[in-house]
Amino acid sequence: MKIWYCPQFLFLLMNLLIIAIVLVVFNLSINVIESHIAALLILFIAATFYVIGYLIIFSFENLAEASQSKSEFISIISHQLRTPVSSIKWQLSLILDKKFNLNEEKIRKFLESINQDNEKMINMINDLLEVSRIEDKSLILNLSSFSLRDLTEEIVSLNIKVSFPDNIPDVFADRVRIKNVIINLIDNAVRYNVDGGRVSIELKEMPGFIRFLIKDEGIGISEEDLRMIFTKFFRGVNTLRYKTDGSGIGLYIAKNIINASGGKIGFESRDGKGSIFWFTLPITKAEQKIIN
Amino acid sequence: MKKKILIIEDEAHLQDVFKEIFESEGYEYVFAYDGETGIKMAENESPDFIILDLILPKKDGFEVLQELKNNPKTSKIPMAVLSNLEGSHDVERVLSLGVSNYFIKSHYTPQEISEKIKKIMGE
Repeated sequence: MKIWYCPQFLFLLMNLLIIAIVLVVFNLSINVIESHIAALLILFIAATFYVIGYLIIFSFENLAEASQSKSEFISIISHQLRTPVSSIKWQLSLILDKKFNLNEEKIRKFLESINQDNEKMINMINDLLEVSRIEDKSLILNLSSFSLRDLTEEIVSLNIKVSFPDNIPDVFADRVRIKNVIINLIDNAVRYNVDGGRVSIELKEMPGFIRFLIKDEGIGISEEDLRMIFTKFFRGVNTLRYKTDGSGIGLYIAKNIINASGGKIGFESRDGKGSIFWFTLPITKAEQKIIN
Repeated sequence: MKKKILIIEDEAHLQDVFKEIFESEGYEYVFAYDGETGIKMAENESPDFIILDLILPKKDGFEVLQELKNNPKTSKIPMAVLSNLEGSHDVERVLSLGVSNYFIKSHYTPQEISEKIKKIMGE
């Protein structure tokens, strides 16, 4: 946080100024100066106070906003965690209750569901840890040279079309994290797609970079949500009310990972015809190949 | 006659739990995965009881509640809201829409919920 945004510092500064001014005015009144100079001086001092006062209010607003977004986040996350937690609780209490005397097949089915719920919680917590690493600026990327094409093909399912040119060069980035970014983008594209809408991925070589682009045929992103899309904990208006999944940190993490890798990330919403998300990653340079 | 319960809930795992419980209690049951289907089923299936989640695809639980209460065919069906939302704002909204049974999923076991439903239906 910049020092000009710190209310305590501003208060200290203002108090020091007031003391200084009291001393000056005291001095001047003893030695009697020309009245118009005194007027100008007072005007200047008043203007300074005004600016400092404004900054104080502004910094308080900033603080309040940050704290509000934090508490909103806590409430979203606890609700998100609660869904799998109560699902696990319910299934366990059913299995453990002798009254129901479930057969082995049913128990197995419930255990598999419990396993999925548990997996969901683990992923959510991993995302939270990633956010905290981003915030602390302690994110350490494990860079290596790998084929974005192979990685993409490893992740996508059959119903997603992937197109790419022959001989596409390797990129230099954190493979595990880029994998998560791609999973996230695919997940979003599928989730917000309309029934039967297609999702397609395109890889393209650009000067110094490889561009990954994913297209869906969903509802697109509403005008008011556009600005906020990469913001932490932001979820579209409709998502909050109708969808249980998604904590609103996926794209925030994606943006930070891509930026830290020296790439760019962006999107286009094609009014009612779906959205396009893309990111670029630097192509492996000759000297980086030797390291690997 | 067997009592019929309509469950409007999008979590497949919770539906499986309800299935077991209501089968053992000897109830008939129907499921709706989203709010829109839920409203239709409430009209067509004439259930004796409705269990409603609040965060639902297509139409959320508040919208469902409003429509069910405004429709003379469904307004008299006893209901319980079963959700993980527990903000006072959400609870008040449900109460103001005329439903006094509000249960937080993670506070109860399914057996307890089933007992409560039995009581509400007057059995």
